[in-house]
This record gives sequence, C-alpha cells and structure tokens, in this order.
Amino acid sequence: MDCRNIESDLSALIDGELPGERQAEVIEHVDNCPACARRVAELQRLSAGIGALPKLEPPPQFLAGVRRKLRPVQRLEAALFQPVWLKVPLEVLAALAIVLWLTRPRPVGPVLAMNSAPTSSREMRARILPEVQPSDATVAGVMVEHGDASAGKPFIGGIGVGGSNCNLIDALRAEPSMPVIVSGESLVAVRQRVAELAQTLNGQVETATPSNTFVVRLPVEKVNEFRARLAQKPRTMYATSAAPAVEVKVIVEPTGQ
Amino acid sequence: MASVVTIESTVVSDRELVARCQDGNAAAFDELVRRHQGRAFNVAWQLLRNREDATEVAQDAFVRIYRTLAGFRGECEFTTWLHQIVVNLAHNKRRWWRCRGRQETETFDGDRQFAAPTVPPDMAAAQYEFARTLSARIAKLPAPYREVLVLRNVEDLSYEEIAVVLKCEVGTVKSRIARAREVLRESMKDDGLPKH
Repeated sequence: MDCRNIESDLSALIDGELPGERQAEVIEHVDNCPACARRVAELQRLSAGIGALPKLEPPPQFLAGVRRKLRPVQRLEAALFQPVWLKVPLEVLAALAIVLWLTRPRPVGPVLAMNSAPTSSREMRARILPEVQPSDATVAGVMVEHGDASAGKPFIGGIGVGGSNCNLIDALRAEPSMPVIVSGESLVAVRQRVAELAQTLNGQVETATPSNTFVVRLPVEKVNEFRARLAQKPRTMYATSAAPAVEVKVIVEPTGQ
Repeated sequence: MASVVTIESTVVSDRELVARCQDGNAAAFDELVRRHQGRAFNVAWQLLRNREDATEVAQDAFVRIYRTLAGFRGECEFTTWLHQIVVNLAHNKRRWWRCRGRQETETFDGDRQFAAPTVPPDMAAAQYEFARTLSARIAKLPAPYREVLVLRNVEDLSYEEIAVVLKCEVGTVKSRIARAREVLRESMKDDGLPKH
C-alpha cells in the first residue's frame, strides 16, 4: 500500500468512516509504517483539539431577536390565512368588484383621445374598433376626437359604415369652429364630393395651404347642417376603396356674419 | 399567544416539538430555538468568525425554519436541517461580504473564544496556547474546509449527514475533510503540535 494514496483513508480511519475490509487493510498498513502512524496520531490530536475548542454563548437576547424578526412574517400570515367565515366573503366581494369594474358603463360614442392623427383610415379603424361596443354599431368606423380651439386641435372624422352618426353630429355642433378631418381615396375625389355638398347648401370650396386642407365658405345658417351632413354621408360619399389614401382637413368658415 | 406547550419532565424530542409547531404551538417553537440556539450560533460563528453576523445568521435560520416548517416532513433530523440552513445563510453572508469588497479576514474576531484574561483552570497553559493557535489557523482555512471540519469535529456529524447538509457526495466529504486536516496539520507545524 502506497502511503501517498491513503491520505483520505487515514483521515476517515480516525473518524470511523471506513468500511470494514478497507479499515482492516489501513490499520495493518499503519501498524507497519511509522510515518503513517505518526500522521494518524497528529490527525487525532488535531481533531480532538478542534472538538475541544471553547464554545461561545449566543447573546442573551437571542430568542427575543428571533421573535422580533418573526413579527412581519406572522402579520403576513395573519393577513393571508384569515378564518374561512371572513376570507370567503372578502374573496366574493373582491370578485364582485372586478366584475363591476369590467362591466362598467363606458362613454357612449367613439370619443377617443389620440396623441396624433392616424396616417390612414385603416390605422384609424384599427385604433377605434377595439373600443367600439355593440351598442355603438351605428358609429363603428367613425372616429371623433374632441377638439380644442385654443390648441388648434381639430375634430377628426373618419369613414362611416352607413347610418347616421349622432354622436359625431352632436360633437360638431358643440364646437362649430373646429375643423373636421375626412378620408377618401384621393384629394380630387374628396374635394369633388365635399364641393357637391357645399354647393347644395350655397357654399363653395377653396383649397388652402397645405393642399390637404379645404376651406368651405357657407352661409352662417348652413354651417351646422353642412357639418352634420358631412358626418352623415355614407362611406361611399368619401371613398370607394376599403383603405382611403388621403385625409383632408375641412375648415368651415361662415359667411354673411 | 394563548397556546402553551407543556414540556413534560421527560425530554420532548425535536420531532415532537416540530409536530407541535406545525399545529401552531408558538411555545414549542420557542423551545426549539432555546434548545438549538447555541448550536446554530456556534456553527455560524465558526464559519464567519464575526459575532454580530453569526447572531444575525443564526436568528435568520430560525426565521426561515418557522416559515418553512409546514413543509418539513422529517426526511432528516431537525438538527441536520438546521445545519443546512445555517451553512447556506453563512454562504450568503460571505457572498454579501465579497460583493461589498470586504475581505473575510477583516471580519474575523477570532480571539473572542479566548477573550478571558486568564487560562481556564481546567486547561493547562500549553493546551490553552495550542487551542488558541488552532482556532486562529482554522479561521484562515478556505470556507469549504472550515465547513467540513466544523460539522465533523465540532458538531460531530457523520460523513453521510455532512453530505446531506452540503448537498454533495459522501466521497467528496471524505476527501475534503482529509484535505482540510492536511492543510491544517501543515499550517500547525510551525507552532508545533503537542507531543503528548
């Protein structure tokens, strides 16, 4: 047996952790090898010395410290594991509150806050349709943003899918000075159709700068009717394709004031 | 806390105390802490050599035991479980030190064991000096070596129990203990081992 290969066996020997057969072999070697016998004696003294080292006492307030650290845990437990007679009604109330919140009444009509005007009607529809409720079917596809005269922020109108759009009309009536944005397949087509509507009300259309802005001059008494009919027109009035290519700002200027 | 544990004249086993704790008996938990606080504190102190950190680690070990007591199914002895938690938390503490660039040796208050100004009456002067040197040498061992020596020679755990605590193979424990003792023996040569 090679002394260099039994280092761990000598250590295990003094711990009584060698299996019987191996223990007998190692003991036989140690009995015949003074160097290994000396090493075993040193290891035994070291192990005994470690075991006999004085022990420190924990601080006297040790248990109090544990209790103090447990307080937040116990408070949490108390909150989580309430008695059933209290826990169940609380859970029912919480569920009820969630249901009420999810089914809360929402503002009628597609009044949306938008940071910027959409670039296409398809995008407009993508933005608005998730917000449209079944009761708002008549206004599906039409987008209105409340304007702000002082900030120059217009109403934005999109393509109607047919039928009247009372919400849009009401909104336009509420703030008649705000421009309306309509969509169509081309500037020419939209201009032609807006012009037709204006002419029926004794008005005329001018193209302003930029070119996607039309100024409609109308007798003052016709302004509301024009804006209402603009919003009421069916989709084909403005576009023949599913994805209109342009958006036009229509500014209505009353004449004869 | 209205619940009261009755500690009979016969010693209640750890297993029984754990069962009472699982039934919500706070006094049984206090008894577990009282019974094992010295063990938890000393293991933590041997691994960290800093009294404040050892106190914190030992207390945190009991807090963790309290929080996970419901899941303890008695697959091992309570003390083995306690050792496992203390060793893990001591690991975490050393990692915390390293993250803050603190050297382990900076934290050692290694002579706390020998703070008494006079030699204990039951200890010869040479033995006292040997113990003092040995303690200092143990403090300088790498943490894995210190762990196995403390668990084997201070806590008297078997190789199998140490393997459970350290979550490693028994063979690893055997070779690590042998290597730790060899390193310690070499370091003690300068100071000389007692010849008796």
